Amino acid sequence: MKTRVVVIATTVLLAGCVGPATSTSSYAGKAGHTAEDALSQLETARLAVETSARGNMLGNTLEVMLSEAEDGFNSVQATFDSIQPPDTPQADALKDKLDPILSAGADGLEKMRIAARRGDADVLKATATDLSKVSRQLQAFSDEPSA
Amino acid sequence: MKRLFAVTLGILTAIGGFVDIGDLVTNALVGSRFGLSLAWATVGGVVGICLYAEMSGRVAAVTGRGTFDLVRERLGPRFGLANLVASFLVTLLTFTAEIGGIALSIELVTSVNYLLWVPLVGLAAWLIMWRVKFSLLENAFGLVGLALVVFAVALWKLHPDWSGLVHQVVAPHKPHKEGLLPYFYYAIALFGAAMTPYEVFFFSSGGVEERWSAKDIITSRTNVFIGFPLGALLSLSIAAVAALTLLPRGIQVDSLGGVSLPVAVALGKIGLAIAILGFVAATFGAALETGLSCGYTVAQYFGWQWGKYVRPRDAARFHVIVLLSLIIAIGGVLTTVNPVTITEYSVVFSAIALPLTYFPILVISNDRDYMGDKVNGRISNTLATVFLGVIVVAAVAAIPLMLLTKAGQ
Amino acid sequence: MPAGRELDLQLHLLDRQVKGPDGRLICKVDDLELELDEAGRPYVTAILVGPRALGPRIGGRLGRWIVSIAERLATAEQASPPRIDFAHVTDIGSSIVLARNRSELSVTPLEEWVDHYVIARIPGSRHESE
Repeated sequence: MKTRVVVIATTVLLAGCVGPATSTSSYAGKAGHTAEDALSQLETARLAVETSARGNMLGNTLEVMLSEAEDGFNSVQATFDSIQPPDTPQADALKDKLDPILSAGADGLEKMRIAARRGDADVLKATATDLSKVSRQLQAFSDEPSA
Repeated sequence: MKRLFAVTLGILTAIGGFVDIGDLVTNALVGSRFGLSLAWATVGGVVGICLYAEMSGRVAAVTGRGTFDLVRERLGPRFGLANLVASFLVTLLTFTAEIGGIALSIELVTSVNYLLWVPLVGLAAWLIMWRVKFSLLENAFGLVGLALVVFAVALWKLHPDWSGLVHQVVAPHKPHKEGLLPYFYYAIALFGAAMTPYEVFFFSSGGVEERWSAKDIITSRTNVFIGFPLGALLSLSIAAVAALTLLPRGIQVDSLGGVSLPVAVALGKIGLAIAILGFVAATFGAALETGLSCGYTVAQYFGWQWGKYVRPRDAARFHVIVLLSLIIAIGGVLTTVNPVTITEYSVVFSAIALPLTYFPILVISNDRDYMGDKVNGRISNTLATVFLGVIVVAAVAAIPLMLLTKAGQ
Repeated sequence: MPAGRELDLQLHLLDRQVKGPDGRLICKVDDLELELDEAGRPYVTAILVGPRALGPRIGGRLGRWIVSIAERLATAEQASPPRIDFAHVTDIGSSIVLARNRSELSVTPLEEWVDHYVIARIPGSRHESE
């Protein structure tokens, strides 16, 4: 009896871990979640930079937040990359659409992290503004992954 | 005059000491995802802890003993042992989360990696638990914890639509994009964050440390019924500012920086600095409370001499338990598991342990053999029993919800 | 036999806190030692302390495990669980008060061990908190 409970519990727990998506709609769901989580990290970084541009942020705090946002974003991207897409053209189209958006976001976050450490306020502000496009794309993707 | 000072100090300490890392993280996270539609859970949690802390305080004042001390007597060694194991493990997990929280707070203002701060923080915590007088410990961190009032100030500065906010609180409406299961999962998390078991052990053991007697019941009551609800207003402020600044941008708080960001947006560098100071004070104070509570629970079950009111050599096993718990907590943080994740689990496990820890308090505070005529009144008994029912439901639902929502996603 | 209060062992004695004459906490009543008098009626002769006394009351596999570990750690001279002769008891109320304090009994070997090998070696252990 006890072993049975352990097996069931383990199975349920493992089901929570990422595995292959078995259908396009489930893959679309995971892609949508990825976009949502990526947006959260990106917007955290952008809001922190905007607050800093207004003179309302401590330098060290900004660095910590940008570094954490970048790590979080990269982790979300890596998790998405590790998911095996189902063998359908729609799934491939989804992946081809989301991957470049994620890369653009990751590049921007890296740029902001480096600029913050260097104290380069102009690059920071400019990159944050540029990234608003990536944010909009992520938002649109998470609202409607299949579009 | 002196009495007024003591009462005020007690209330202020209760407000400042109410919030710990669990409240900081959970309220900010919930505010950024659910707005104020889960405020009812925070309010419910506060009512619960007010009821049970008052009972615990009364027990300590009347019997001169901590509630944990009496559990084994009243309910037997087997139930007492089950209670001990559950309470100790949850408190130890919370202790780990608090140590992580202190390190994260210091990182936020120094940008030096939090792991490097952990040993220093641990040493400082131990030294204070070893040497500093109980009342000084309580008062110092409670008062500095009042820095978190900056969240209420930030809320005011953001000029929210107050009637809209109130409407969200009294007529909660789950946001469309969030599922029903995560909604209730986070309700349970908020319960666990507000009604942490250690709070009750610490409050009653503290009453014994400070030599309360029946005449201190009034002080204990004012601390609880005024201090805790005001402290809860701080929790709600943390959620509200997150809802106003982060929710519209799709930000879901998952870091201590995220908790502080709304204050920076509203009040700038000074507000941010005060908020971080508040983080350090609140988490450090809570670390001391959970650390000592690890000792209180074990020592009180076995009947060992405990407490800071005697010299360490007279309560050797108590101090060793505290030290060992600290070492385990430090080790837990040094595994590099994200302290925010540890915190999120600690509040849910607190909610699961609640029925086991609260039920004995209800029994003992109703027992005339211990309380004489200071037993529970009819109203508080009814309320407390209703609450027990609610936390049993929450405790039972917690694990399935955790598995189904993958811890809230 | 002198008349006295009627006590329920379970309710009024077992698991109660045992204190010294100065109010300091000593231990809990983990178990009781009973003997039979001339008429065959049982009476309490001692308070038993420690894991070897408490283990059987917790019962089950856990209880037996506790007892076996405690027995392994006990030295040869500690043949049975530490006991406090009931003659030392001066009051039975919400706690049991003794006429001896902790240092005069030797029922808390763990405390003494921990005190000697760990706590006493840490600076500041002799003083009250400040």
